[in-house]
Amino acid sequence: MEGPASAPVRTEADLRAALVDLGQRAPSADAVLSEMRATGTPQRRRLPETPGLPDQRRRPGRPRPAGPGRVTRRFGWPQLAVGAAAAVAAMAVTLALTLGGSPGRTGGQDVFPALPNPPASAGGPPAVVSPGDHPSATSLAQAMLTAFNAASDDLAYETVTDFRAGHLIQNDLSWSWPAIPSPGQLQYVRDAFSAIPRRASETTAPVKLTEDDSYTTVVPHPSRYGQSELARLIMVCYAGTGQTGCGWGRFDTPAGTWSKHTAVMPYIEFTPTPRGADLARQIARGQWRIVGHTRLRGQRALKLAETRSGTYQGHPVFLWVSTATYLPLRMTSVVGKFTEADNWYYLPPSKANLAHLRVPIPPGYPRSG
Amino acid sequence: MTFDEFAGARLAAVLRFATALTGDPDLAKDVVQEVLARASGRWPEIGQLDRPEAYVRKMVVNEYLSWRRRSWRLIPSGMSSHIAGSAAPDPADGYVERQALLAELAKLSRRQRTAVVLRYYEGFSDAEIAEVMGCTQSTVRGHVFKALAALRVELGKPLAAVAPSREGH
Repeated sequence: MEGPASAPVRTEADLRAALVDLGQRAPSADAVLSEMRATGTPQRRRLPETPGLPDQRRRPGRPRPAGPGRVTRRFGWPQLAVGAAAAVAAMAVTLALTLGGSPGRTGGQDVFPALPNPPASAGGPPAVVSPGDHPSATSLAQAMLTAFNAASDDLAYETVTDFRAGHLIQNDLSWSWPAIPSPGQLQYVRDAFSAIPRRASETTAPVKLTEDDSYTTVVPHPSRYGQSELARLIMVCYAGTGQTGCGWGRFDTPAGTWSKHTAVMPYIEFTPTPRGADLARQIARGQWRIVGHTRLRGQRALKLAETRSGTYQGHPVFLWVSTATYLPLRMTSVVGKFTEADNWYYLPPSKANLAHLRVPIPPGYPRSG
Repeated sequence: MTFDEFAGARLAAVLRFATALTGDPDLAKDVVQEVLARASGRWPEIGQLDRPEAYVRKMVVNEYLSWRRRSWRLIPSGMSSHIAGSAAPDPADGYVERQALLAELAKLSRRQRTAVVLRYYEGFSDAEIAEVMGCTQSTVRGHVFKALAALRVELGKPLAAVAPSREGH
């Protein structure tokens, strides 16, 4: 399909196929109708009513059990340094946060969606089926970069679940919007962390929602990562977890209370990791190899295994990439008895989906800060 | 046909058409909701038409052409430069090329895009497109010709002779 000037020459069939493909991305008729019936009027798109304010990587007040070698976004105690850029960002955040209002008080732990298909073992999803035609590493990487570009305005929902000897020991659910923010853009993040309560058996006890945080800030230029930006933070520290409190930077929230702070605090990048562009580059460099086709979450997917040159050298790590969207669906890694599974969902920024960014305050929880 | 019967049977197809037309599922939803809100109030008349769906699609086109909102969803503009391309066609290449085509489609004027979608998605003739868009057939051909040139789509037959086949959606 290359013309004399190396511009692609397309056919009418290409155009028809592209339009049909585009049409397949239509919203569901049921959703459109139910939205209209619920309100009686069309639902115009609008900015969310200040969803929760999750921010960068969580900073729970206690160390988490060590998991496999996933590159996490947990941050250390940052040094405070505020520059002129922060002042500009501060104005934007202040405006955005002023419009937001306080978080809703609608419910407790049951508002959390069920964990999506946590793997019971290191094997992950079933069976690789017929080999089919595998894309080359280069073209797969290009397709993934294109897909990430297309999904940059979506709501990224990520679940990270850790298992020890097959038993769920902690899980971290995070929502981030926009999924791939640009510097200067307002970013909303919510992070809900569940773990086995202290002193409970790690082999039998179920996990319990421990901390639910939201963070809103203006994304700084990458050169300012690790520095501080004005942000709004809401923390709910759940009681009955064996913790006396939850911490985020210099802010502590006693167990059984919630707090809300608008202040300069360290910026932590919340974009799901590994970043899509990183994955694409790793694939292009041969750090992953396609092992076959399979199905995951109702989609056809490529299953990839990390090669010995990859980040998790020597440990079995698998990645599933949808062949419908070319976005990653899942990654599992195994280190000894530990298995960690990341699931990624790129959701349209509908009102219903953005509602997940709001942290619910449990009834009866007093504000402590 | 009642409104509920229409919605149950044909709304999904109308939404697919609107998504192809706008290039944005969210905008498609907004446009279709506006249209449905208006159409439901006039359904006793619309439901009596021979082809209520055609009428609703025309309402969708008009709504899209007059839509004032500019919050277009960005469509990917291409791929990163730091990964060298491969000449060998494979499944992922097709995805990238299609995304690039959709990105260029998004840059067309609304009327050009509408003409292209009606021709290549709906399979309408020039006369049908002209009727929906409220213009002459020569204007339609002008829109399509310029759009195809911008998209670098090679015509299989001269425009005036093209008689696209209708495909079910």
